[in-house]
Amino acid sequence: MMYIEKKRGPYFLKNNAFGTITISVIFPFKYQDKNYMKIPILLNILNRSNNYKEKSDFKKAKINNYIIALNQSYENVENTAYFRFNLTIPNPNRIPEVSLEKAIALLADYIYNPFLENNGFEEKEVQKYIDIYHKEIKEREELTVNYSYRRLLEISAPKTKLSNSLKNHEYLLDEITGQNLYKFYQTIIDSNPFVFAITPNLEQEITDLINKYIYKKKEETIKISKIRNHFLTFKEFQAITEEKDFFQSYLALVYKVKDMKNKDRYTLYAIDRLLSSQSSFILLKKMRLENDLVYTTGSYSYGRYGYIALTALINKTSKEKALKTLKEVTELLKDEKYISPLLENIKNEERIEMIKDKDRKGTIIRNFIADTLEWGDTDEQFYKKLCKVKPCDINELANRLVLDTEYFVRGNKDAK
Amino acid sequence: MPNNLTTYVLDNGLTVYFYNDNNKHSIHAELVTKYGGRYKDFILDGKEYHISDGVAHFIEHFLCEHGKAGNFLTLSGDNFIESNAFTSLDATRYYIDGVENMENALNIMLTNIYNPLFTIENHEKVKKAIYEEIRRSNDRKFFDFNVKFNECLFHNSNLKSNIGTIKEIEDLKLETVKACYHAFYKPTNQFLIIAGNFDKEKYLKQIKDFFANQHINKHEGYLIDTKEPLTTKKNSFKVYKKTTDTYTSIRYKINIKNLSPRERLDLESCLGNYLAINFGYSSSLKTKLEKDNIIVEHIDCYMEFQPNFVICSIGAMTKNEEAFVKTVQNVMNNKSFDKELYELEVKQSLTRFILRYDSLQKTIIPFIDNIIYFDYPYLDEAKDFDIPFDKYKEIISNLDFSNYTIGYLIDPKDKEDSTK
Repeated sequence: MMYIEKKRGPYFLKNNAFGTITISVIFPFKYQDKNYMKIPILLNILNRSNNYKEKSDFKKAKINNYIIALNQSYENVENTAYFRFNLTIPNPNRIPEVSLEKAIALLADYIYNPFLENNGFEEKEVQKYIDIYHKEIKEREELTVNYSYRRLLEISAPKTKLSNSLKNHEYLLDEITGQNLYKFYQTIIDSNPFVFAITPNLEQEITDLINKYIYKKKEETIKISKIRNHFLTFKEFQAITEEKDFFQSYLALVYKVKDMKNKDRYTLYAIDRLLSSQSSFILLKKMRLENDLVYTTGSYSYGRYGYIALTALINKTSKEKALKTLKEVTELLKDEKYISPLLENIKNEERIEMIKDKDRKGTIIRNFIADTLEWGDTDEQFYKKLCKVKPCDINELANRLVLDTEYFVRGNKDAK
Repeated sequence: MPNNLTTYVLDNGLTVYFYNDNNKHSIHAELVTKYGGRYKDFILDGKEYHISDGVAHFIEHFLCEHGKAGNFLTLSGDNFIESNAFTSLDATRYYIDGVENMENALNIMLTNIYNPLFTIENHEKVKKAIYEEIRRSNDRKFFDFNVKFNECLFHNSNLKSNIGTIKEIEDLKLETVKACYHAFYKPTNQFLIIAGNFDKEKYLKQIKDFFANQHINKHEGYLIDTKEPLTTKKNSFKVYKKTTDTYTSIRYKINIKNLSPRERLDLESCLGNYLAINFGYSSSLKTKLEKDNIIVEHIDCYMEFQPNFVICSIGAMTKNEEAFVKTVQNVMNNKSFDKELYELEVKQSLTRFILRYDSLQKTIIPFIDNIIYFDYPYLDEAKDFDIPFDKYKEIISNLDFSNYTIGYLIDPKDKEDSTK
């Protein structure tokens, strides 16, 4: 089953720990690659409603309504994209002058009545951001980590969402106009939104206001994509070297998991944490403390793709030694006696993070939304599965890691 | 917001601050040494030192990796504690963050800071990771630009980079490192803050017991006053480096030598508001500069407080450098004040202050900064942002913006076109 149906809400998470109320209005729409560059332009161009001639007028309205934050963001899960509006205001219990109705009305005005010119977004503003993104793409190519990270995904996970980047969608920028961007925006806000609120109280008041200002459709359920796995298969080993005008050199090894299954995702995550989390730090210990090869080294994994990368920023003369050390590290994963205490460490580290997350409002909100919309395991569910991972599982999966890509970017500049 | 701050001064001169918040689930502890990359000229036990860049940062690495307890970062990890350290131009900070085993981790952190293992072998080992860190910083677009600004703003400072160059670190002797350590790593030049959900009496006892067994640093060290004049060394410069648009920045060197700590705190608030009103994201001036094709998009503003000066920086990607400079100079020299706009900024600050309830870091980081930059151990309150309009006008009117340097970061291909 590729889709699930969810009620639109509003969903409430009662929380007394914070002095603020946050409301998120999230519009799901069909993800299409052809709209890839419209999203970043849209995220920048929305800055006021049509009732405010200047940005400064809208800023005044926000301040006078005690709005701490009013902004937008974007997520993508499978074929469903989510355009999200976030409103944060003080809890009226702390500042009695706060009017919940005025704040939500302003939010609705911002969403449904954006500032337009000739039935579209301001052409000059749209063109400004198109130029900015052309320049941003060019500038990122000059930065060691940005460039290398993008290229690595391009060569090791081609034609997947992992390899999507601003660079390989740049050609879409010049097709965007104020009018077609507004038309795209209208399809977004025409959909039925989910609404989430983190608040100590005031659920009924918020519900009534959401019904009054935010919901435009009668339907109470929304169809969204169900998250799936896209395990990558190894085709053939590739070793790629590039030369760039950087001061540092970048070395990466990409492994794909042979015969990857859903339950392997937790073991792969455990391997990732064994390599680079502070309670284990295998990469740092081997690459830096024992062999003086790096200042920075790390790993990252994409469990739903069965993909893990080990990376290091090194001196151009250290390539062979760094390569040898990275490969030794992956062999270490098969040493159950070595791994066993470190595996316990990372489980404890995850447990501690879950306790700390109780103080992190952003994390609480993100988890609340992700859990409700089934964007993956909840933190607790994931932790329980992680706790079941044993050293023999690490060994077993390590034996199924197939070296897919060796990527080296030689930086030609010499630092003084 | 309740003021849950208590202060203790130990026999050895270390000030310890406790900030209790039993609504939180974690504890944050930070040891701050008021010694950063800027401090290169000092006297230790009667001998004068003028050192290269990067020593404060070098010591930070040394203490993390080669203290008596072992490697501070890996040992913290073994206790499921997040830890790190960082060196700015004004201070070096070591912190631990956790829920359990904090007493262990605090012991490790203090043991390493107060018991470094100064051997040649360790000294040479520390260098290697720093070489890679230097290469990383060289890759940054504004690295050379900021180095040049330091050269042009100050007559008597040869500071180029907080972490030094490869040659400087290669040449760095262990004796120099030890001298800096003895001069600045003294409890009277440090403070410790513990914040969050914890038993204050238990931690106070642990800290006192720790220092009861420590060797006392009896070295006499103090900074040399470089007698930096009010003026800048050079009014403008150009740096050529790959950039999509020219970046133009004006940095004002403003004398604050005679301001008290409280006055500096108020200055930060008022100048911050003045910059936001004139150059902020939704300011009419910024919108006009965009419409007139003078700037590309936003204007970057920030303040950097030093012991005798505040450097006020205003910069942007520009399409018309001359017009940008002229506009900024006009705003800073012909100061105008709009009461309505000012009161709006104040109202926004007061509303946003409520976010400090939400996070331990949002409460204590400004407190730590007040000590480092203003020598003022003061926990901000909402009322501190509500400075009356007349006082705001007075504070800004008294600022002298006549000493400045203008920097241009230009793409090499535009070198021939540059008429500046």
